[in-house]
Amino acid sequence: MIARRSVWSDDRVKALLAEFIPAADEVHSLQSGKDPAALHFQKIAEQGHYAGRTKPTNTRQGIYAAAPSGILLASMNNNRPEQVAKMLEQALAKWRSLSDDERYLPSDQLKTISQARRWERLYPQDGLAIRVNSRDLPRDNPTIKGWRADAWNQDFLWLKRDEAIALCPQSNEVGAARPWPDAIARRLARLNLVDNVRGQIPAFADEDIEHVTITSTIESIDDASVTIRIDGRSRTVKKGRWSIDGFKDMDNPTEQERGIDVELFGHAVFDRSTQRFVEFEVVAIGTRWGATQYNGRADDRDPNGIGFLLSLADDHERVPPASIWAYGW
Amino acid sequence: MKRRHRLAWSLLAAVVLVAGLRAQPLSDDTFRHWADYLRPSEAECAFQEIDWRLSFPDGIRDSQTLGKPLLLWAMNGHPMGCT
Repeated sequence: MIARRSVWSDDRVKALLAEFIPAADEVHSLQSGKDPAALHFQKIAEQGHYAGRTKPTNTRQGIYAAAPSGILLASMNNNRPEQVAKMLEQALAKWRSLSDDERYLPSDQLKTISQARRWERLYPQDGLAIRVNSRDLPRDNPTIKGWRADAWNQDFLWLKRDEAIALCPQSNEVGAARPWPDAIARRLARLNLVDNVRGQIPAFADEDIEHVTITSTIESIDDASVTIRIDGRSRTVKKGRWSIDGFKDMDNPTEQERGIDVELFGHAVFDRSTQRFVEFEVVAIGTRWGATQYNGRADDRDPNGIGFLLSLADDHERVPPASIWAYGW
Repeated sequence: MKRRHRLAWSLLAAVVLVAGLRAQPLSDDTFRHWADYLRPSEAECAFQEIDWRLSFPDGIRDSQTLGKPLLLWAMNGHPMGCT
């Protein structure tokens, strides 16, 4: 998360990146998968900075420069732009020393890697993809310093075409209302209205939802479109034993509680001819409390303000939701 | 001195505004403020200006076909999503 702001906006890094094909991906499925693409990543990673590592975790996250053949050029897990720039220069020097045979994959192998089954295939091309940004609300007496003070994050919510259509009241009357289908409201509450502001967090379980209702109400309607107001509430609470402080307490889970209690409000415009949303902007504002192992809240567990902004994702943002495994698609 | 006073009053006004907004329920009056507050700024999204391929296989494919080395940013959670 820190690398988002520190590394990739650095001018020297950006200039060096022009010599590479930049790619970003989720590491867990790559390091643990058995498909050809995952195995190819593992071949690269096992030459890199975390090769063979099992403790404190077996993560292989980081920055890798590699030839498509699978030869590692350089790698590191570092948020300092000057270090990354140095690594990129070393990688380029090694790339230039390789022959074409060493650089490239046989075409049949490239084809197998390109055909890996990935979550991206479920992107709802004719449905609705929503970007969900999260951020802490301003505090009266801020005590948190550094990057955590103004951290933000994002995830996505995907809806199939029939699910998206079901968010719009099927009426020609201003004031007509339609509650969101339970499955959609619960998907949002469980998987997106989570405290990921400072880092990844497990989704809530369905039984953690104490309450969620979201309603669409027609504000105006004409031949082309329906404008709706969206409002609702969501409250999720999870209790149990888990770690809250990264590696420090990973072997010593303690009794914990975490939760989110928010109010939602916003507007959307539904195109009647394409049956698709062309505008969508909803805010969720409320309170969060508690911590999880990697969400940077160990010293910040008291209830405090959190906000979410739901807006239309751009067509190129085909990044699977973090908890897409829970969709059941 | 006048400038300093103006600055102090502006800061006070901003604090009062934010505190006031926080106490109010979400409505048409407060919605735009919060939407703008929550939306990441251009500077915060600078990392997205890079032409990232969104998967490792896409990166390998383009690396091979365009004849450039791959630079993979692999994180726990997709770097362009929730990491």
